[in-house]
Formats: sequence, C-alpha cells, structure tokens
Amino acid sequence: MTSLSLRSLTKRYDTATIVNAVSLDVEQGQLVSLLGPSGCGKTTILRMIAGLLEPTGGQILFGDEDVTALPANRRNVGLVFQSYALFPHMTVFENVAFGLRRQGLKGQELKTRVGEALEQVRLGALAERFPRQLSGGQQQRVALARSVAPRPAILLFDEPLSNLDAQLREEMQIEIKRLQSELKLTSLFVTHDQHEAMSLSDRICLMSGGNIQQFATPEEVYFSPANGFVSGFVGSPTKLTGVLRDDAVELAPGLVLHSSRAVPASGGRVRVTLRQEDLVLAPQGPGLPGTITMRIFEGASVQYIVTLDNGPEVMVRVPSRGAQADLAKGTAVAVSIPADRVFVSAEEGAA
Amino acid sequence: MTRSRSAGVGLIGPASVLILAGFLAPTVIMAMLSLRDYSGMHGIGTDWTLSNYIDVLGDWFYLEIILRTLALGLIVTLLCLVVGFPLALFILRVGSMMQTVAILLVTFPLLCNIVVRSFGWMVLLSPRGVINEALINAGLIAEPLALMYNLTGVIIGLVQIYLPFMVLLLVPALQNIPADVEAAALTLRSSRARVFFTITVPLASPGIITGSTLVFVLSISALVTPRMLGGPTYRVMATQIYDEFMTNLNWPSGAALAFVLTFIALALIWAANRVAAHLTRGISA
Repeated sequence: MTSLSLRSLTKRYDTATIVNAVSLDVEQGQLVSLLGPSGCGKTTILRMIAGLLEPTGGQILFGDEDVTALPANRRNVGLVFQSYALFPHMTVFENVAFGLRRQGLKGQELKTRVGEALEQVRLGALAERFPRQLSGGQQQRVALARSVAPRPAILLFDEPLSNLDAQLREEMQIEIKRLQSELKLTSLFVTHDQHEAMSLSDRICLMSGGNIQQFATPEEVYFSPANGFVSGFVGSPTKLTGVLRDDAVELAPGLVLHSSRAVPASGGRVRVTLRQEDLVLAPQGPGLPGTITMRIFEGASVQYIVTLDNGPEVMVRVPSRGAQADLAKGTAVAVSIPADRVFVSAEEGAA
Repeated sequence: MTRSRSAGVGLIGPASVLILAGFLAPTVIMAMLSLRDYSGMHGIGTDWTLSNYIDVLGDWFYLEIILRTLALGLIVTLLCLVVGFPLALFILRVGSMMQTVAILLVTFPLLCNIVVRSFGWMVLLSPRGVINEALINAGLIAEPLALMYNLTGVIIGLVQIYLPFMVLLLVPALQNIPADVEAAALTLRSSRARVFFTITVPLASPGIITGSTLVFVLSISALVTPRMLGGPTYRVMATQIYDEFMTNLNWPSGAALAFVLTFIALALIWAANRVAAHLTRGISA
C-alpha cells in the first residue's frame, strides 16, 4: 500500500498531445476517479501507470519510488479492464492464482489466498468454472479478485463497469467501494460516467483535452465547478449563451440572469450553465416567465422542458412527489434561479 | 416430399454426384484392389487376401519408409511452426501497409507451381548449384555440401512450400486473442516470455493444431518435392506408392500402402481434434 504521484506526465503521438503534463497525487488508501469525455487522455494515463504505455515525459511515483522506467510486470499494480480480460483457457481458480503463483505461492497457501480473494467477491462456489460459463457481472468480479489477490500497491480500473447493464453496474459499484475501503487500496478509477465517479470517489480528477480541469472532492466539483468545462460537464445542464453586463447576463432582450459567482472579467459574449435541479418552478410570481413544452416522468423525478418567453428553452428537474410534479404541457410558469447557481464562463472555455 | 426438401436435394445433387463418381467410387475400387493377390508371373489375381497389408506392415523395407515419412512430416511441421509463428506475429503487429505487403509475400509462392518451385530449389541446392558454388568461391568450404538428394533437401523444399498454409492459419488464431488479455498477464507480474508461453500460445492452440495437422498431412503425402529434391533413391510413402504402381506394376501393394498412409492421416486428424477439444475447452463453446 502506497501513494501514487504523477509529475508532469506527458504522452505525445507525433504532433498530437494526448496527455499534457499532468500532475496528480493520490493519497494512500484513496480512490480517485479520472473523469472525462472519451479522448480526454484518461485511459492513456492509466496505461502509463500500469506500464503498458511508455510516457513521452514526466514521472510516475509509487510512494517515493520512481517506477517510470519499470516494465509492467515489475510494478505491482492491479488492473481491472473494461473487457474483463480473463484468461479464457483457465478456470476461475487458475485466473486468480495466476498473479499469486508469480509471487512464489503454492500448495495450501495458494489455495487459501485464492479462496480468500474469491470470497471477497462472493464467488467461492464458482472456482472450477471457466470464464465463459459466467455472466458478465461474475466475470468482472473474478477480474477484481484476480487483481487484488496479489495485494498490489496500486489498483487501477479502466472503465470496469461500462459493459454491464444499469442494475448490475450499481451492485458492482457498491462491491468495488466495499472492497477498496476494506483493503485500503490506493485506487485510480477511469470512467466517463459522472454518477459513477461521484458515488465511488474520494476525489475526482476531471479531465479534458489531456489537461486536468479540476481535482477536488465530488462535492466541490458539483457545487463549485472550477471553470466552464466542469460546470458544463457535471449534471446534464442547460447551456445557454448571453451577453455579460456587470454581473448580469442578458440571454435575450429583457431576459436577464444575475449571478453571484465569479464571472469572466472580459465581458462580452459568455456561456451560461444552469443545472436542471437548481431551477425552481412556480405557477406565477417572480422569476422568468415561460411555458412548459414537455413533461418527462422519470420515476423519482420529473423533467420539464420550459420555453422562456422570447427566449431559449431550459431543462428543469423536480422531485416527482413535489408540488410542481403535475404541470401539464402548455402551463405558464415562472422559473427562478438562485444567483449562486448561475455559472458564467468565457464562451470558448465552455466547449 | 415437400417443396423445400426437393429444393435441398437439387442444391446438393451435383456435389453428391461428383463426390460419388469422382472420390468414393475410385476409393472403393482401390480398397478392393488392395485386397487382391498378386504374383510377378500372373499379375493381379482374383483371390481375396490380406497379404498386401501384412507385407507392408511386416517388412522392414516398408516400415522404414513409413517411419521416415512420419519423421519427415514431424520435422517439416515443427520447422513450419517455429518459422511461421514469429512471421504470423509480425504480420499481426506491423502497420497496415506492411501487413498487406507481408501477406502478399507469404501467399505469393502459392501462385507458383510446385514443380517449378522444386526446380528452383534444385538450382540452388544441387552439388554444383548456386549455394555450393558461392560457398566454394568464397573459400568457406572445399567440398560441396550435401544439400539435396537427402533429408535436408526434402525438408528445405517442403518447409518452403507449406509455410504459407501454417502462417495463414496462425494469423487469424492470433488475431482472436484480445490485447487486453496479454496486458492483464503482464500486470500480473509475468515477463513477456512467460506471457507468450502461458497466454499467447495456449490461446492460439486452435490455429496451431489446425495448421500443424494440415502441414503434416500435406508433407507425408507429398510426391513431387521428395522425388525431385530427394532423388530416385530417397523413398517416402508417396514416392513408394508411385513406384509400386508405375514401376513395379504391383497395384495391390501400392493400394495397400496408400490405404496405410490414408489411415495414418485420418488417425492423426482424429487425435488432433481430440487434443484441440481438450485444450480449448475453456475457449470455445
């Protein structure tokens, strides 16, 4: 068990920079997510840490040890793949035993350790099966057992839940969280799914275009996005453009939003990001007047699309047991937005 | 008979007739021939006998030929595997442009007639051939090396001729191995060499077995190359069968030898399938 540090880690292919001088510290026993859209460099970072890709520059440290030049088989990492990557010609037992045998374990000790690892993912009964005889969720649990069995210094996850259906994904999230905190393994979790990152991580490293956009706790990322990219990525917000005048944004003639947050100094055209759950609907009263153009029932919540008078559409999400859950299409409403929930950023930075 | 069933018969009809007339009938005639008695005086007789098989399997002259043929097949197969495996890996891992070129180069010899290719090897390997002349002129050897009219020449010729089959069967087998699986083994503390032998080779075993079976069967039944590069006195089963028929005119003996060869090939294919089924019980459904 050890901490993980990246120092100006860089990966370039010809002229394309995939990872741009990324520095990051994962404290011992923490789970950090690398979150971002596809192509943001998160998987590349993971593979460089595992030793499967050679960095163009920078350093990778496990604790105080510089492992940048070490080959993959000498790094003591566990890696869980999106594709499970089990050895199809070996039984579940042999899959889990694979790394342990390399550590010189055999006989009863090997059996005990494999049994322990399989119990940790509650698959003890399936040791003699072949991977193809297992469901996707079971296969990924075998992969998890296989990577934690040799007690790696760092545990790496490469979108491990993307191939599972929604229900299984939540079960596995809990499984991973439980195992990781029980074993206190320093972990890096690559995902493009913000809910996964939010629910699993101690800290989230939000990436875009090979750069870190924000490295903070899930709460900080959600409540205090560092820039336009972060506010636009987290949640499924409405993105609008407007013209900045002092601390107010004019979305359309007569349609003005006040923000109590930091706004770009330059003024001019800006990007405004509004979270669906931050918007408050009322039948009338103060706020921006608008009309409901669509109602979508989602179970726990109801989503509305509201067309503001003389202005753009915004998305609003309210609890399905709340007072405003039954507004029909065509109803006139007033939309109010707390000034501290109006995220304003420079236009190009919000891309 | 329903409409679809008669349509089915119509579809397989021509192929069935071709197989019955062109393959099954001659095989039956040959099988009967191998059970006829034969004497140098009267030729093929009319009595039924097993003596042709007893002669072939009880005479060291024939047994030596059979064993030599099997050894030849084994050596050619192993050499094709050892040469072909790295080549298949290269084709798989190299860039797409080089890949096309490499596959073209591998398949190109297949477009050339076996007789022509064997002649080419004779030009290179014969005692006064290109290789020996070059080595003598360079002062590296005093006497020409015995590169043909022996096992060496036949092996060189057969490996070159059957290598494309091995490579073309290994490439898709290796292609089916997910890169992540090998990467997973690497992160589990295995050196590249260990990953190769514990992951890559076992997962490629369906291709290895198919390729090896094919090359082995083709090698033990090859006629032209052993005759041309082995010379008239170098006997393998195929050349001996040819001689029994064409030189000795002992058709029953030749037919018996041909059936022994066929049974060896069939037994081998059967055994290879059993081994493949065992090795790949985790891989395929």
